[in-house]
Amino acid sequence: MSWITILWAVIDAACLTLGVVHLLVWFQKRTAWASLLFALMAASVAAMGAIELLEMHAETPRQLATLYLWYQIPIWAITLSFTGFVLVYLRAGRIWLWWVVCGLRTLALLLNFLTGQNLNYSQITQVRHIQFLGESVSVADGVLNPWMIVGQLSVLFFIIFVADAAIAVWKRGDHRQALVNGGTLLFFVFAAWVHTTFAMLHIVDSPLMTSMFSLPAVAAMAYEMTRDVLRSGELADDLRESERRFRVTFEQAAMGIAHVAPNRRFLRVNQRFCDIVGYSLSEILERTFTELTYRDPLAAGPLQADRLLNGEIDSCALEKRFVRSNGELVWVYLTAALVRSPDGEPQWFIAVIEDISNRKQAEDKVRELSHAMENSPVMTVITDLLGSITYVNRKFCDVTGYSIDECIGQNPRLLKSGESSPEIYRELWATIASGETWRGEFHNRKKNGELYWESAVISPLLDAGGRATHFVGVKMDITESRRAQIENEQQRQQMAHLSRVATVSELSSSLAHELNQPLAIILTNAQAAQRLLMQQPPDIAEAREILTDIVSEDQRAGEVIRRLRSLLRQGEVRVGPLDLNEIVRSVFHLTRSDLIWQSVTVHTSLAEDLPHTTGDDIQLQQVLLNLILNACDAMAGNPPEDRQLKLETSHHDSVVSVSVSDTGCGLPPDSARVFEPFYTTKTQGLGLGLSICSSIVRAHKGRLWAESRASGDLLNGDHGGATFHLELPANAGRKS
Amino acid sequence: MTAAPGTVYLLDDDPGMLKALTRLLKAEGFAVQGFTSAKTFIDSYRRENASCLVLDVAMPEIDGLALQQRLTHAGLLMPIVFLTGHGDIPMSVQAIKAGAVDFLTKPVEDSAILNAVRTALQRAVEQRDSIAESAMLRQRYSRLTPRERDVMDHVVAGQLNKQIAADLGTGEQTIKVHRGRVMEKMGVQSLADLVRAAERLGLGKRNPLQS
Repeated sequence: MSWITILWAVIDAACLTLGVVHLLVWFQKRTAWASLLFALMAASVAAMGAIELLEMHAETPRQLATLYLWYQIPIWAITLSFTGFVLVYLRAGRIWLWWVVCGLRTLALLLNFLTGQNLNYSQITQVRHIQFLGESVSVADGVLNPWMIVGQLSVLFFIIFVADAAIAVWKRGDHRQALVNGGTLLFFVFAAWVHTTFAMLHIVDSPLMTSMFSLPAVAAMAYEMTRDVLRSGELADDLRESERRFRVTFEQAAMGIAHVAPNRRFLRVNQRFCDIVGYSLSEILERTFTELTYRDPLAAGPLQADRLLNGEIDSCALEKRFVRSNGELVWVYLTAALVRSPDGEPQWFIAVIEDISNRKQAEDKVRELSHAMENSPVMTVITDLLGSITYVNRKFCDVTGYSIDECIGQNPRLLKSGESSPEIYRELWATIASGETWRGEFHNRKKNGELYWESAVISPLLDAGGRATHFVGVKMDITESRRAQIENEQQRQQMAHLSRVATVSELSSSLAHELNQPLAIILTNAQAAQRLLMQQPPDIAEAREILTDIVSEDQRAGEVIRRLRSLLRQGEVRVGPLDLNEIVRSVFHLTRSDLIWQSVTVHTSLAEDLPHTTGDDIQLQQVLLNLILNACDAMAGNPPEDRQLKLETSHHDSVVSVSVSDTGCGLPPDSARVFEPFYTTKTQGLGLGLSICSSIVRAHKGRLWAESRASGDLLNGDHGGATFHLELPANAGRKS
Repeated sequence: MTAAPGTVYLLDDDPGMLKALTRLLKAEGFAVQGFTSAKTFIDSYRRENASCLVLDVAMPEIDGLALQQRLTHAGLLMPIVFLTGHGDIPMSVQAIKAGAVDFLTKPVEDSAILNAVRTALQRAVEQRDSIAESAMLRQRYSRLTPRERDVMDHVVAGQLNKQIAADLGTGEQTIKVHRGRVMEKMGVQSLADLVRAAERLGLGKRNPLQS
């Protein structure tokens, strides 16, 4: 065994081994064209090595010529596979250059067979033996084929092609590839070319050994390709890890995930998906997405899945319902996307669902409540903490005349009319700022300028931490009821006045007497004075006294007229502090004559130090007047000595009271009925007096009630009768 | 100035009125005593000659008309002038029938009240005189014998002596004697005086035909 045989055998073995490996790779993956090209290249190098070994041991010129002829075939194959490898694997090189290289080489191969003995020699004249690696090897001597130049050109363009490709690879950043593949290839092609040319021209004595030069290039490529194999191994690991992660994610996800084929059949679902739709995994895989979908009869429009398939949309998100295995509906939030193959063919849908039943229920609740609020007959307005309106309901718009858009973002002072006092607003803000609910009334202005009254309840809306986030105002338009209230009050006043006039007219003869009496006294006094002054000597002292009396009697008459006028006065209520004793005295004064005529004996018991109450003195006089006249009427059937009236004032526990007791016929069994309108026990009378008294007392926040006495109470006499009690709230301060 | 002999009692619950009336009556020379209630009047009243009462109708407790009744029941025939703030006809009729001198309505003219008071005092004097005459006639009548009383009855009935003698069953002469004695005992000069005396004694109503 010689070194040469060993070396070349090793080259061939190495190349063939590498070639077979990559051929197998190509068999596994037909698209791995780089591997096929590499296998072809390795095989060509092996073939070239084998031919070189034969050449070195050729005996005759003819044998050499034949070997040289066949030698061109591996060269052609190597050229094509090398350049092809550059194109496919390095993804570099100019196509036209490749065509030039391959064209020239193919032409050289044709010329190899058509001209001379082969491409290199027209005629090999002899076999020369030279010493190489310690043994004698054969080389050719002969006439060179001039067409050899085509092969030389092919190699030249080969070098240019590879250099150009290496530069392109370098430029795009793959420096290592440019150096290892481009550089190695370039160097060894150039070296092989120079060596072969020199050997041919006998510039050096050497057998052809291109295979030797090709081996490093093959090794470099094999190294690159091995890196690829290693990398793909790493990728496989990565892929497995990724797959595992995907699996875990898929199975453990809090959301239901399904892969659905374009025909809507389930390909893969996770446990969560099964839980949500209420089917087992195997049950789901037998069904289609469409079967599980609840068709809302109200929903219309194209299916989102179809739009995904048509490429109208890339993904979609919607809320929909599935029919669970038990027939219940479940609301889900679905996001779906379509996975397409690289050539755009739909492969499967990815559907991710989230159970939103709870949210839907909450939404339903919110919708119910907001519907109720929206249609509520009371105005609702919600503001943020700065007072900007964030919500108003329809009633609010109806009443105020502002549209929702005109209200949102505005402050409720939009409605301010200036009619409500600033204290109300201060009190309101102080109340709700302290987390309390405020109740009150506003006099506000509508958009059209009209004023209206509203009753408002304003409260802070608290979050879970008890902090106010909004203020909620619930308001009612009370303009109508307020107007009715005012009209009612006016009517009540009118009724009270009418009743007062009627009462006073009952007293008219008594009042006439009260006026007549001072007039009569004045006349008599004046006439007495005339006589006294006519006497000789005139009694001046007595006349002066008479004048004093006339003045006081005149004042007395004036006082009666003043009282009468104020009783008959019609007008607004004059509320002020009142002394109940004074009212009793005043009424007693008006009725005194009447009481005398009716032979009624009056006892008065007025409490000293009586606190004031607040009210309208005329109205309270009216009440007392009614009570006294009623008492007189009740006693009209008694003998004169049994007509006794007691007027008594007292106070206790912040209440002042006056009671009117008589010894009359008493009350009907159901004594409260006497305060009802049109209830009367008299033959004459409308039955309005006490009902009006009752309403007057109510307006004074007081109480009026009656009780029958069996006997014995009034001044120790043995009399039955009735007592009417009038209670009024006492003012805080004591009578001064 | 015609000062009347008796006292004028004033009764009015209104002190102002009482004072004014007192002044007026005193200016005319009357003796006046004023009271503001019937009770005080009754308590302080002393029977005396020819007094009258000016009485307010409307007064607490005992009013004017009630007082009038009580006085009448007590046999005190004091002439009363009523004063009232608002007199009505039934009330005034009642008062007058019960013997009131007048019924005046306030305000009252001075002349009206003064005239009424004078009239009342006059009547008081007359009543006093009439009461004294009646007492004298009753005393004289009591001195007649029963036979003389019978004769007087027949005489004042207008019968002649002959008729009387026939009725009584005696002689005409006897009747003449009785008649003279009756005339003498009763202190009358003529038949007309005797008839008047009989009327004052209340004998005139007796029908002699039925006895």
